[in-house]
Amino acid sequence: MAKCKSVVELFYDVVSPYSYITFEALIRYNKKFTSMDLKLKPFYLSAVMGATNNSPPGLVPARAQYMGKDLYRLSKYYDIPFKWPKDIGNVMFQKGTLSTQRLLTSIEKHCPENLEAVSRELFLRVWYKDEDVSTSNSLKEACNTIGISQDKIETIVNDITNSEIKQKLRDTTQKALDFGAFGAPTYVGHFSNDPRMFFGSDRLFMLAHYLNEQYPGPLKELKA
Amino acid sequence: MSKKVIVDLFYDVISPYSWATFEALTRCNKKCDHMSLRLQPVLLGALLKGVRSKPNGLKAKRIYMKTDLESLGEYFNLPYNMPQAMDYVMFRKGSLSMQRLLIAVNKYSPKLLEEVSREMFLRIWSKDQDATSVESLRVTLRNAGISERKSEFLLHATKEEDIKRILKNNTKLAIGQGVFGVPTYVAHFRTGPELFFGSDQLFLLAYYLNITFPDYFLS
Repeated sequence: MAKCKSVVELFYDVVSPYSYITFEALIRYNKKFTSMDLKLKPFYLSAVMGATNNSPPGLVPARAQYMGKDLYRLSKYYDIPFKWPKDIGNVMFQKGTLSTQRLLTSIEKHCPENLEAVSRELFLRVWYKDEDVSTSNSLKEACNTIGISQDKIETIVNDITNSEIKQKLRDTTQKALDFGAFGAPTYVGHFSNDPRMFFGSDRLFMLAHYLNEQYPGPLKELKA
Repeated sequence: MSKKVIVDLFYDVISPYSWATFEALTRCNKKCDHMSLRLQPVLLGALLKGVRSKPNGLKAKRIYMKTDLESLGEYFNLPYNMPQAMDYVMFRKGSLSMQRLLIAVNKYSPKLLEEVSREMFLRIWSKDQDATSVESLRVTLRNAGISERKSEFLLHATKEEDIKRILKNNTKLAIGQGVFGVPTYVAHFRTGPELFFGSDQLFLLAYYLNITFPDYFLS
């Protein structure tokens, strides 16, 4: 008897390192679990933080120290390439990821089949290669790296400033807020009853449980 | 023959996530022959002040917490039942008398620490009963199977200067090890200590202990 498929929406922002871990893990889960149908939903974390009056956890020094080690530990557990950028403050608070997330929204519109690959490339740029993801040149470079054609890249990147794309990103972000999101990553499982929201990279075992699946571990063999 | 890995669990009964972790780890301790659990009651309020953190005051987080704990209860088979005045219990009532009693139990009857902790957790997070007043503490000790005489002794002991000092000290020591909240469990491996924060990192602890998840943590 075929398992019932549940849609799982992953709301993520490339500025969030735990989103990176969860993104890779859920893509592996999606490959393994027939019960799951993953939908990638790029949203804008900064707006979520603002709307809920939240602040980044790293502001408590002891917690920042812990996060530093925890992310290396998780990256080893999942075998995900990870390295803290030299100036994370610059990435998060000065440059921000508004144009980055708008790019992903544009990819969603023009070539959704590339959304996973472009997201991965952007995550790698921030969380492994310490490269920029805010300027249009950087965004064009990222699209080029994964093999999108030059004229398509022009269309996709130009569309970032389009009001339709801006609104789409706002709508996705609002959708996450409506589910109760206050940070990233946020994933929503649409199981047989009500949708269930999960926050943070560590609730994946819980998601598996709701999908009626055994906890699968890191699934390194399904690494992209 | 390899030595056991000592795992220190820093907890405060005022923390609902501490309950799930406490139960998961006490279960694991019984099943895992290369682990040795040490229960370390700390004072969460003082801990948060010490690391310049604030308790989880966000409205959206509090809303999330309720369903999250429900899920956790289902997963770990624990009868969570949110107190009616949850915000008051968690953020304003305090846990000083309870944590001091746990320190007294640890000093005079360490073998009873697990059972007394369990009774406290149940009172707050399942029965929605007070656990801070002297009478509540008395009932807690009796429910843990402790004689009337011993209960009175332990209640009296909570007023000792030594008990106050130990609780303060333990909390300071926790901070010194990098603890910034509860529940936190520190596993002492030969290669060095590994700190895990939150009930949801048990899968990672399992990986480090080379045991399967979640079976070692389920009843």
